[in-house]
Amino acid sequence: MRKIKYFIVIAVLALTLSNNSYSQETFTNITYDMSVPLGNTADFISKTSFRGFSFDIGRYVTDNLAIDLRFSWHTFYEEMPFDSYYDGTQTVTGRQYRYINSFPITGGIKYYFNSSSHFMPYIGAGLGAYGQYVRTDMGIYTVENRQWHFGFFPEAGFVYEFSYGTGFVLNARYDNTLAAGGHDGNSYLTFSVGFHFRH
Amino acid sequence: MKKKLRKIFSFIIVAAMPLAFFSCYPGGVEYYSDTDIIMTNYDEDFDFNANMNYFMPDTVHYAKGDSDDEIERKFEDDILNRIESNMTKLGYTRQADENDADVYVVATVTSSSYTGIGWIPGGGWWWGGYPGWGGWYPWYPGYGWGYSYSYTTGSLFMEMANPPATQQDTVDIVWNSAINGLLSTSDANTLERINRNIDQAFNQPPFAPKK
Repeated sequence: MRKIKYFIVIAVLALTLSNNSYSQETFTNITYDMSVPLGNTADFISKTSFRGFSFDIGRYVTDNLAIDLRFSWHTFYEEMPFDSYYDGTQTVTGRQYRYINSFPITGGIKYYFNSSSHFMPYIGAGLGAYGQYVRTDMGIYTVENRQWHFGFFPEAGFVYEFSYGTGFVLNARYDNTLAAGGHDGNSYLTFSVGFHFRH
Repeated sequence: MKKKLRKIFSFIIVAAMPLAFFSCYPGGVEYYSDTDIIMTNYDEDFDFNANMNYFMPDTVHYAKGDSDDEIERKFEDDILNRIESNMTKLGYTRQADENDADVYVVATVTSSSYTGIGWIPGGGWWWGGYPGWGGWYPWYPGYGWGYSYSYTTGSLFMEMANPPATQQDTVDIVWNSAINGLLSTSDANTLERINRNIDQAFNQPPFAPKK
């Protein structure tokens, strides 16, 4: 957690103090996100999430390199069939409604391959804190685990500017969190599409 | 000017995004029956196949729980008949005299009107030990939205006791079941769910294998 704090402080300082000739511009990405659960996340909820968004602000450090801060919200949901669950001699039968709400707050870097063009492919990576609420409703009862996890992600995508400073952004990101507080981490692949604004 | 418009546009989108979510807990129950749960537990050291004679009282025991509401008694015969038919299917014989029985079967009904969050399964007076399911609490309807609510649930408990050879204050409960769900306003719907859920309780271990 301490490392995450240092990383965020350095990223904020870089955003505010960076002052070379290429680094005057900032950008904002606002995207609609669709997430495919993987690993033990898919064991709990197998359905793709169509409820998600990301808000990403960043600054170009050089023509090709940018740093950014991202906030996302991804909601996974699945209604399980009427089924029995066993624990030793105990059996509970009913319908389960399962939810995961994931709130990544991350810092990252992006490298643009073709920054002087309208079409700018990029790769990136980052890390940060992920708030993850994992909840199961069954009958009139519920159980929920709220836990902050350390997580990281690689991503790849492109920006297409259709007019100066305004364009589309499309990317794919693999968010992965580590176990924390006795709770497993989660992993999922997110496809994002949205707007890119360069200021 | 163009730059300013772009900034305004981006902030409008940012403000609109969370609205698109509306709720972080989509979906959920649609019908009363979606709230039904059937819990069973048993003593794995007890031989259920060697004690096939049972005694069951002609009445259902009623417990008020945390509510002052009068408990509906109109399903009493239906409950007892359904239990008996399930016991018969399993090969048990109902005895009129309790002295001829290997085990006793008792049914208890309670209703609870919830006006908030407060009752934890596993900690209730009736359950007495489902440690693996601790931490559950009532959520329905609208938990987390900050308004007060009231609703009524019905619970049916079935217990099988192994009477001791000598007179004692306590008896061993070798099998118990708790059936719980939101009470519907329709008698036909409630009766159909009672019958189905009693059948389910007898279709779980130790009377049926795990699926």
